[in-house]
Amino acid sequence: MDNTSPNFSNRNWRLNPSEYIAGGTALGIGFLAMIIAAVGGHFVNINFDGVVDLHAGKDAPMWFQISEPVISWLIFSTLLYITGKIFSTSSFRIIDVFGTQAFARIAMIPAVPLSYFATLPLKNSDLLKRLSNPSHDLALSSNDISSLVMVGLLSIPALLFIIWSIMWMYKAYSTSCNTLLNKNLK
Amino acid sequence: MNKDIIVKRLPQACPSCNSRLNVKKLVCPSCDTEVEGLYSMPLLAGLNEQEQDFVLSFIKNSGSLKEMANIMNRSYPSVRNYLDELIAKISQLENSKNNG
Repeated sequence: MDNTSPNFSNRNWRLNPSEYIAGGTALGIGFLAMIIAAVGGHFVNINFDGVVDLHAGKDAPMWFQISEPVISWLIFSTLLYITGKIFSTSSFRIIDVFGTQAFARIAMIPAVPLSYFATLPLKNSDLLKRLSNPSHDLALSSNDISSLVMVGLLSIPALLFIIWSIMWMYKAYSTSCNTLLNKNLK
Repeated sequence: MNKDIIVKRLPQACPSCNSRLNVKKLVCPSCDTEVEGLYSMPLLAGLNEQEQDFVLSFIKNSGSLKEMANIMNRSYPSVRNYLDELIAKISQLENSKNNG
């Protein structure tokens, strides 16, 4: 039965896991990943309050931090489903759109500790307090600049995981809605 | 060279001009009777071996994409997309056949 396998060259699971996992399984794993990332984020003040990114600094109740990624996933997946219905000529299942989008958020889990470590240099300085209060002196000292440079450098690994997650989301959309229909034939 | 491992494949396109081939001669393997004429190849012969295997397996599994996904170890939408590609290819073959 190996001969029935289509040519999936250059499409390994790291680049596009939705080629291998979708539907209810992807939904279950992805949902669990969202909860893990949100609970982990709660303890280090990392919030998933954006559709495809995360932010540091907001202290919020755990239920609030868990509901943020779930709501953004629901809204984003619904929009993708609607655009898929408009633009795709293929028939596709709603469970695959929501499932693969949830699964794509797995890459956000490592971004939580990495983002926390990236913000550590700022926690040791009073720069954030000064920036949030205009009455304070805003002149940057050499310590402030070195803290900002460290934050920038330490943010790169977390940023890579966020980019990875966004790439998975795009691949999940193109696979679950078949928006690349017929392109492989040309 | 071991002759046992040679697998003959039905050629689909002319090696000279790449046009689709037709059948000129048929032979009965038991009595050697030969039938000569010009016959066009069936549409499914225009698919490659891998695609033909997929079609056969798909029919044998009662057209279940879920079952095909299990057999191929791929996700349901991925198999669905592959089927869409096959449908598009068959449509292209039909069009090229109808246009001569």
